[in-house]
Amino acid sequence: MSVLVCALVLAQVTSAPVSAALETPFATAIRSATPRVVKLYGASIGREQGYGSGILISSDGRIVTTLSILLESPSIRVVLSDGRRFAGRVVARDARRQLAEIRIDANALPYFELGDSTHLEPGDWIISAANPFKVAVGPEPVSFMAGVFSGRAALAARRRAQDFAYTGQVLLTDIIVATPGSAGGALVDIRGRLVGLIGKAVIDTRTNTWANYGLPVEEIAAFVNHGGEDPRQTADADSPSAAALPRLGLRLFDVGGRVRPAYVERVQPGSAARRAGIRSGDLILSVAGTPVASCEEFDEAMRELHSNQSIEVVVKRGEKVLSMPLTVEGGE
Amino acid sequence: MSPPRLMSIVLVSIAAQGHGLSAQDAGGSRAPLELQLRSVFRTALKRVTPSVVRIDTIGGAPRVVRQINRKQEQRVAPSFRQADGPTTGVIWSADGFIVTSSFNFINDPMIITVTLSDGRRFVADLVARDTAARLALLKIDAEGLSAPRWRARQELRRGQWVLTAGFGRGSTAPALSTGVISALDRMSAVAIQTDAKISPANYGGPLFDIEGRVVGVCVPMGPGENEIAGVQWYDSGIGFAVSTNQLRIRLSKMEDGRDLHRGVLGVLVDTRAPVVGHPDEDAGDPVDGVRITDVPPGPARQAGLEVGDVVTSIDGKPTPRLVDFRRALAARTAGDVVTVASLRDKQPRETRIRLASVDDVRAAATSQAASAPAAP
Repeated sequence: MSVLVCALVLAQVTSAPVSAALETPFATAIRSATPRVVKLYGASIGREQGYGSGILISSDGRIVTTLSILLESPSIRVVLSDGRRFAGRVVARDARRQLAEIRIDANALPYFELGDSTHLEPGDWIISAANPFKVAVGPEPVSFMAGVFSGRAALAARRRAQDFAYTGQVLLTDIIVATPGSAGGALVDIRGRLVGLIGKAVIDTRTNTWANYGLPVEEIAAFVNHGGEDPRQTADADSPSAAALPRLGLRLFDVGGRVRPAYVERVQPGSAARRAGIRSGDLILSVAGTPVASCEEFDEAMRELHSNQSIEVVVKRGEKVLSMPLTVEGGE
Repeated sequence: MSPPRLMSIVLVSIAAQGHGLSAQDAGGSRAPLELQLRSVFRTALKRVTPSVVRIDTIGGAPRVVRQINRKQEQRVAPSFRQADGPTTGVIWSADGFIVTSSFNFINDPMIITVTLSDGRRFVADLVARDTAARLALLKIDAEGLSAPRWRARQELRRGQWVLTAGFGRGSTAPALSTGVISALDRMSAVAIQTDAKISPANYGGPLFDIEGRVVGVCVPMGPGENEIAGVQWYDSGIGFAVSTNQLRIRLSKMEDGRDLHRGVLGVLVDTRAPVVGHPDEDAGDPVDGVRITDVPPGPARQAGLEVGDVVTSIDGKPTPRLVDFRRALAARTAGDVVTVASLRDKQPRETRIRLASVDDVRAAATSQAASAPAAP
């Protein structure tokens, strides 16, 4: 605000800052976002190195980005807006929100406050700050785009054959952010306050078009405030695979395609599923009270479990619906 | 719009903010501001229009096709036809030079015509092309043309409004798109990046500010070297325009008919930029430069550069990072002579090297391979 007041005072003296205010209404937002958005480089996708964007959320190097292939690397390269390069490691993941937290060893960094997005109304200005197509290199600032907040919606979306895991409300915008490298970047309001994190590029299944959206800042706060303490959602950088996830000891038919009912293909001998009486050919209907209609929903439901938890798995076998009590096996 | 009226609009917007309110908090004051912004866009377009020309082409090489057999031919990407429709240009000088994008002339049209905003139509010559910045320079036989006001790169700010106008959609008046400056000094500092929709609809047209001053000429740009690289990003919110500073440097070379190409030294390089908290095992002494890892036949080898030399500056511009190295070279073109400062065994050296084009270096490598003895 002090900047605006300054501009007002100067406006009465000289005309130069006045025309700047009409010409560049997004200056405050850009000044705020520039040092708080980072460029990420990680594991390769095919021949090309994976890349993306992230936001700083603490002065000591906590960074939030979206889940993506680039994180499947022992070391993620983090490039700050001043060109400094850091080795980052993944310290927490959240499969439902499709978020991850990265740490770098640094201090005295500028960072975004995790406030709220409830003040946004359709038509309000939104500014995106991210590195689409990795156009920005080295110390170059990320790319900024301006548009409006379009509204809130729960996305029905998919990425390739997989359904989009996050079912909560997202922030929609008319800025084109469904581009490679944009995910994990910031959406800020006209004052430069963080309102959302650009989501991974997904196709809206209602319109079959790319969805331009952000995850509300409230979800980022919820993730970082207990994501790091919750072993279900945490994976150490040394074991980034699904090995640490809770399991039942069964494998589903994974035939691909748009709809993949959760049919059991194989039950491991000696596993919790075997002891409970689950057989190959069973169709899983629910896990621990969560309805399951597809392989993805089964995976999602499994992520909400923890080892030694007592649950019921409901299956359809022939024309019967059977409830199977069992105890979840630990991952590690 | 007269200057006093512009000033009053500006004061309205400042007053809204000066009360400690952003536009969205100010409620009732938002609508008038946005209405006034609209009128600013209209005025900007009116001001630039006399300097924007429509370019039509007739004939030329057919679009890119691959012959599969006598009956079938397969189209090669991109799938749209190039340079068939009308395109856009900007008056560069009152005495008849027109700047546009080389994208519009990939197929070497036989006949080019330029239509001014007042309806006069001229036959144009293609003077020269710039394959690096994707520019083309045309000349028509006319005097007293209405060149636009230009705005230099140093006066631009990220986030400021910019507009584009083009004839690619077939309109008789240029069609408008608006956006903001996304970044300055992109593509090795050759171009300005904008989220205004830049596409074949306005390649060659102006990118201009809200007072109608031209800040760049819209071109396709992106990864890769081929003549249509960058087109795949069109209408994605990632658009580029060659800055006026670069236009001055480049078009002055092109005015006498010289085609411009990207200039290269003919070296492969490596950077040793440090990663904080990640010690580089084999880094040795840190150096402020890019290390040469290979010197194939070409200008650098002729000039005596060797593997292991560290380039510390080009034309006096320090090159601690690869991005600086690329920017220094992008400021020049093939045929230019650059001064390369380097370190060999920590001893500084200085070398004058005439930049070659990528094609020259490839040809040198090929002839070397052809003349080399069969056994090494």
